[in-house]
Amino acid sequence: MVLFYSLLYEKGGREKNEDSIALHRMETRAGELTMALICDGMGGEDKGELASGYLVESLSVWFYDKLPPVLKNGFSRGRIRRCLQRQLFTVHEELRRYALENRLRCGTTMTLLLIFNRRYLLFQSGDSMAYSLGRKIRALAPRQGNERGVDRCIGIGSFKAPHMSSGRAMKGMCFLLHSDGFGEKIKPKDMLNALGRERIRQREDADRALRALAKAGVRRGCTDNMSAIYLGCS
Amino acid sequence: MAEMDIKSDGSGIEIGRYRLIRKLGEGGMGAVWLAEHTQLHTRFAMKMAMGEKDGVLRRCLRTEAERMKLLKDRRIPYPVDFFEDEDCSVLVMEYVEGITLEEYIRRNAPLDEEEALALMKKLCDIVAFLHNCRPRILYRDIKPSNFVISGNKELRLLDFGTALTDNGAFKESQICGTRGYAAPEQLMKGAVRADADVYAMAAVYSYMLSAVDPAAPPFHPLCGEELGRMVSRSSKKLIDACLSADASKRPANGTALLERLDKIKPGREILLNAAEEHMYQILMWAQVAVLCMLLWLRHMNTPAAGAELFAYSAALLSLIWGMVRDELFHDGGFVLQRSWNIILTEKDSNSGYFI
Repeated sequence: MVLFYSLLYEKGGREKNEDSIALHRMETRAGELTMALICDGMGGEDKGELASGYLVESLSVWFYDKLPPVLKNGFSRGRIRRCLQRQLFTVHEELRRYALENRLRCGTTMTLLLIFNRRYLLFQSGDSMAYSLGRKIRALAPRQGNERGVDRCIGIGSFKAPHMSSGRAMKGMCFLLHSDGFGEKIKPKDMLNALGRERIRQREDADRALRALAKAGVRRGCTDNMSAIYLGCS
Repeated sequence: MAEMDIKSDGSGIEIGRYRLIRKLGEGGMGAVWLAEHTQLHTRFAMKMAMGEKDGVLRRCLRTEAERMKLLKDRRIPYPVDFFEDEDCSVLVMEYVEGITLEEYIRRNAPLDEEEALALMKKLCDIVAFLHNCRPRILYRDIKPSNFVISGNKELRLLDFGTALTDNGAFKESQICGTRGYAAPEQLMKGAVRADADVYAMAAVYSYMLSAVDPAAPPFHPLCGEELGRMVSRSSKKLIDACLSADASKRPANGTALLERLDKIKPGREILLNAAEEHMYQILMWAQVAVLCMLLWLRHMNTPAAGAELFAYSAALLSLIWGMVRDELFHDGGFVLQRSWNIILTEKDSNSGYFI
């Protein structure tokens, strides 16, 4: 189903990259399973990269250890959601405890896309975005948060379950996940023009397009970290 | 009222004939204190509810005292005294020493199935007693923190604040219970039957076996298939039946659940499961041995017999090993291949706090 991928992981105008990203795939008896994950370490919070890095590591372990037994009994959105929420709650509590012990604030947003055969599941906490790219570009979940900040965040405040959406991955559909820094100065229309399915035939095309978009973002005055994952599907 | 005289001196606060020692806990229905009788020097638990005289909390405490008075069983603390004034109602009851089942599970979970089953039978016995009382009692808030476990593993049930007595039918529509333990219909309509307590007990059993607290997000106990391999099939089936959203599929009450629990033989079943798995392997190996024997008999007089026999055996063995390997691995061979495995982060891998 997922043929190739392209990653963008740029510091932008910052000293360090507080985003963390992960991409995993496994072949199972029931089909191919792909997980793409972008966590943004909450710009401005102390130790943002620690929070996002820990969530990415923890969910990578979850993907290989906890998810296969759930999928073994069939693809059930409810079971996957509950299994993920348990893991997220554990991480949330650990981050809160760590922050309390060290007298700091660290949290992270999360956008996680699971593609299993021709179905996808998206879990979103915070303002990172996920799009499907076909003839049109479509946000897979509504943008969360406002100028005061994000309303769902792993590690800060009370735990809120991530927003979930699901659907079928149609033929030729591609996916783009990006942190809020990448989307700050680049509009979805620009993304479609650069990454639309007619333009991207292989990984090198996607690499070039993502780098060009990142440069355009910097030219337009973006100073935040920029991370993105592009998944080209059959 | 003389009993409610509140005095405060250097040795602590006195309410009537009782001196407060320390707070034991605080729930939705009020605070519970450890108190000592000033003359007898005996310790009691004292539950207090503040607010208007006819307010919900104080009415609940009054009915709790009435319910506890009806229940004469050593596993349920007996009420000693009840008094109230304009601002406060006080229920004095037997003080139960020990730790809560919640604390016990948190320290020891996942419990092995034998131990979990033994605790569940005790727990279920208490609930069955409530369901069989005249009038029947629905507890409606079964969760590990409402049970106290003593040193000899005796269980005792506390807090009857949400319990409901049967006056022909359970009609009270007030929503109560703890998210994760309360049955779905209990949180939606409020109208419940004894099988709602059965649901909560299955949630406790699942918590004991898995160490996953149903009261944490996503507020759903692990169902049978999510429990590990070391849990017998009968336990898994029973948990699934009790956690069914369709109340009619659950055992009807505590007694029915106790009967089902009595039929579970965890050790024997796990052994049988293992034997079943091994039987498959034994049969396969026996087949290989027979085939090798036949080949050897057929080719023993030809010059290439040795080499041919070796080749056949190796091919067969590799085939059989492939089948057996799937059974041996944790995921039963579900995962065939992993790829990509990319993680990009600037988190210092040597910080070592978490992983």
